[in-house]
Amino acid sequence: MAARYWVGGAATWDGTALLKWALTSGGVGGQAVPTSSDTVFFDAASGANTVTIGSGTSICSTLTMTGFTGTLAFGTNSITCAGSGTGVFTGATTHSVTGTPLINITGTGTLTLLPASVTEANSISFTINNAASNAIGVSGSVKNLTFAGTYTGNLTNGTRTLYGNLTLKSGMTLSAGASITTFASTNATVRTITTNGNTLDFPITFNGIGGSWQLQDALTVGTSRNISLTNGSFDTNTKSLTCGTFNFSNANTKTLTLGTSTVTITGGTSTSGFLGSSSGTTYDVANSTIVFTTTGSTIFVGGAGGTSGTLYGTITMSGLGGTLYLGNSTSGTTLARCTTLNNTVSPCTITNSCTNAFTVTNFNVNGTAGNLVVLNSNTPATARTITKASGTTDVDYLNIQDSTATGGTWNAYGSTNSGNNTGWNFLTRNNGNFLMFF
Amino acid sequence: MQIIFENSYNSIVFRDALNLPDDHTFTDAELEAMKQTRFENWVKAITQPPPNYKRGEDGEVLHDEDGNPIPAE
Repeated sequence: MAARYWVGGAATWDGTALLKWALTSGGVGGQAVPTSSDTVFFDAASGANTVTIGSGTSICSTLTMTGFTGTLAFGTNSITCAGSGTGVFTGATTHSVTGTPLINITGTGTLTLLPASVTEANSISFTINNAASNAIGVSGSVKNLTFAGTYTGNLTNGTRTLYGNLTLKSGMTLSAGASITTFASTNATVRTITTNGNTLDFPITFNGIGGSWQLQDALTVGTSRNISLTNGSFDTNTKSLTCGTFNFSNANTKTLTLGTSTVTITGGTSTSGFLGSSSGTTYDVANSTIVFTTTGSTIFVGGAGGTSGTLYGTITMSGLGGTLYLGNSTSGTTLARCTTLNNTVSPCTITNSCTNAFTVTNFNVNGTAGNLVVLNSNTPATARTITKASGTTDVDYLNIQDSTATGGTWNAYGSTNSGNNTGWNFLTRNNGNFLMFF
Repeated sequence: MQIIFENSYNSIVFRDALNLPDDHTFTDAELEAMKQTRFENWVKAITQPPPNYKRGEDGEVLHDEDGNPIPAE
């Protein structure tokens, strides 16, 4: 292994040595062209020159760009780094790139990529295409991050920014951790996320003004992790989205496209879960399904839109013994709306926190004998309204308290009237007939 | 090529896709096995117990500046 410092000025990194390479920084050129065993450096002494990447000949063990103020002109070519260890690639914020910058990582040992916090324009794509690498760490900013070929190693958790696509490989693993991966493209070209069956057990943020991201397959994020949509457009592309919590409660300009996707919220608290925004969001959610599976507390805040809140398709409570707050339990949400509200488990609790009303077309919430579903208010003794346009709603085995039902007829069979209810008919089924109690 | 598939658990729909090269050589049985593995991993994800979050002295879950709960780890 030998060091190779670029001293070739404005020239092409290709198979010809000439006087391009030195053994030391700013040294005398004339050394051999780097091989896959050599460590290559572009630094301040390399000058503010444009170095063109040749076709298939730019190979090294490791590549360090610290202090370089010039430009790497990739065109449609790429660099191959075949080494391992810390800093197989060490980037810098001082230099520029042009073309479609791509570095292929082919080392087989544990390695880290340190691309620095570069701008979107100067970000480089990395393709990890090696055989059974042990572990790879990527921290800093990259364009596309692609795991391909025979890679079956582990991507360690780290704070990283992706301006391009993320493509994971089936059979690889990803470490859990609290460091955030941020998708930060500001380019209108759709960036894709392909997980290939991997669970991402770390937080994810979409935050790029004008950026656009689309799932290519299901995205599953760990049950204690959050997905944030801060800026840009996020499209689930009809695929399933599963995460601990989903938060887009900000006023920034953004678009949420769920189409017919099912979003499964597996975590949350009484103030977090599926947390929409009061302004700034364009929605395509009317045919979506939002499912809550936690056995603890979680929350649905759909966000503002229309005259009665943003219309969602189906909201489902599937967390046995859990509590689903419709609206923010602390501040109170004025309104929320969905076509169908239902549950798949009992007992559970649905707590209406809408200070105006929760609007629904189909109220299909039911308990079972001995396992009543609680329908109540987030503020005891303060009734919350649930409303529909018209028609008769028949439910079974609820325990209702502090609830005002309006629009149409609301019949609760085999249910408990725990007080402060208005608009509910508490009835008993009797061989196809019913008895009415006033 | 993309093979979109769908399954459900406890009435919750899981919709995923296999993204494969057009010239892939997987057999039908291998493709079905991949689909099943994806589905089973997703079922594990949605049936995990509630996450453990950091809590204050009063027992309330602590949130970060964006309002997200902070995992306990």
